[in-house]
Amino acid sequence: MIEIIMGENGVGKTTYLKKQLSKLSPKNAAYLPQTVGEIFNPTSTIYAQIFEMQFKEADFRYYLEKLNLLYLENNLHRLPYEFSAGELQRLALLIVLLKNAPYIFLDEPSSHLDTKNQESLADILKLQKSNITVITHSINFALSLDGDIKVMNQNRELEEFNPININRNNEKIPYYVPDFLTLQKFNTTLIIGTSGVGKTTYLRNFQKFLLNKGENVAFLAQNASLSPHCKILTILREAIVVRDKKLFNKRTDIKKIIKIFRELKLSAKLLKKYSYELSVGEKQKILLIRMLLLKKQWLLLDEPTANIDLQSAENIMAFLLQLQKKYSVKLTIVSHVAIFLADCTVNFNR
Amino acid sequence: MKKISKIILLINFCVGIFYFFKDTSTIYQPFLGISAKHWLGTNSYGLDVFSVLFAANIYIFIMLIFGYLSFLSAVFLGSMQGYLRGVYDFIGQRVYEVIISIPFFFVIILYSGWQELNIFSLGLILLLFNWTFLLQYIRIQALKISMNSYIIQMQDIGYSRSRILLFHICPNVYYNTKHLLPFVLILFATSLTALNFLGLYEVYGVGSLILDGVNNLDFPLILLSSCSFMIILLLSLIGVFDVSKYHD
Repeated sequence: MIEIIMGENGVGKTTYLKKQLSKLSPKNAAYLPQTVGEIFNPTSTIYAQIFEMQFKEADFRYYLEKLNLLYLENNLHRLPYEFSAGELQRLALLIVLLKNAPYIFLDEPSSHLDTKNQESLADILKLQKSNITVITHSINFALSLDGDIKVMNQNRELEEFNPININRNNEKIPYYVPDFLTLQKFNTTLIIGTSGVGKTTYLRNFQKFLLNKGENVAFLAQNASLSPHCKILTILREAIVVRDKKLFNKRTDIKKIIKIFRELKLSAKLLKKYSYELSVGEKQKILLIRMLLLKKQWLLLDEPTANIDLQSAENIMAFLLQLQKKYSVKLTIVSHVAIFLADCTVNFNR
Repeated sequence: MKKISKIILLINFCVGIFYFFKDTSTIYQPFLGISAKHWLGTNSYGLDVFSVLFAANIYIFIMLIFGYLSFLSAVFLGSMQGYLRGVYDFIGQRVYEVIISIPFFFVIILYSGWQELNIFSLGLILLLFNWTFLLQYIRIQALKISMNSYIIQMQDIGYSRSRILLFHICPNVYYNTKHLLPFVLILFATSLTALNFLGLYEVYGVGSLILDGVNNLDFPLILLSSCSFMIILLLSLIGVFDVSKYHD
């Protein structure tokens, strides 16, 4: 039995999952939270953290093979920060599946995975005997699970889902990894590839290359967050103060912030909240808005739409492209989903 | 608890200010018991214990301000070492090692031999030698906070290091170490009382009353009242900075 829940950011999907979880005893349930980077103990190896549990040796081999992790088997003695986000996501899934619990709750298990790994994950979940509840934003992943798809509306009620006209992009893009001098010439670049090939490292090196040239660069990391002690309005105001190259400025224009909020269809109530009160998708939007306020020429984005629902992701991408035409901003984006047409597509898959 | 201790401290301060400007040096008959005129009796010199205790109270409050300043400077210097690292950390650690290897008590004795001790000079000496009290802990906190994703994100979009240090590392370090602040304050308050007790600091205060009580154990009212006064003050200080509310 697989139950799939979809819906916009901030509707209350995670809260629903946690409510279901609190009804069960911890022995019977396994839960995968959204921010995978914080699950693992940073000072202990992955191997030690997996083998704290009791499980069958055969199960371990089976799941390693199914999750395409066999190439990592000899490298499990490393610390968590040495793995990529996609690899950590699959290792966390491995731990959840090894528990063999009758109820499994997964909060966006497909967020950092490429299409190949998403398909293999769907195959494993279909074979499971336990009751599984999955939250996801990817329609392809939801359809491949063959379960009951439900959509959560603004009133926190679950509704039936009707798939209408969903196109699957299966175009084949050739292998192409240019050097930075050629990459610099394009206005919009998309970087794709399976997890663990080094997309983030490539982008970080590109950032260093641009910084050495004296360019105005901003980088959005994969698990980025906002200061916990500030309200959203103070965070955005600070960006304006930084842009004007001052240390203090009491009078800042909020008009521009409100204008951007309107264009992105966000409510002004967010400005009065703290960052821990926002959902993951809303946080990502605020991070992007802060980068826009800083007036940077180059925006390097590492999976900006990983945890955002499809509609908002398209909204943000459209806004970024509009901005690029207005202010001639250059974009370089790592993504698993080819949402927009780029001048250049860097592909790590052979 | 927090409200009660706040009220106690406020009453303490207000009554203290009232007696600080009132003349407390009138001499009565020594060793008087509790009465309507002398609420806590008189001591061996014939001074009214109640008014002396609350008048000396103001000096303790001045020391508390010095204690808070030392905590703030420790937060700033510790987070500078933890966040900027490199040369700043190297120099900071060497200064720290020099300061903790000097015994501050001898410095006070040397200073009192050279010039008369004053509440402000005493506070400054204590500040100079006690800001290192929580430094190592604060430094590790700053290092831990600087590894967080929101700090790394701000570096990536080009915020300056001084801005991150002042507006993002320091407040977070302050809130993470605030539960240790009462211990710094108590250290300052008790060291003033101890110096007073030893006779190095010549103002007639709580420490002198305790000394008087120790010398006259046949009349235990002096020792009891002055000690319980000090204990209530220190307990209310711990109560004011109670952070258990946030962990519920």
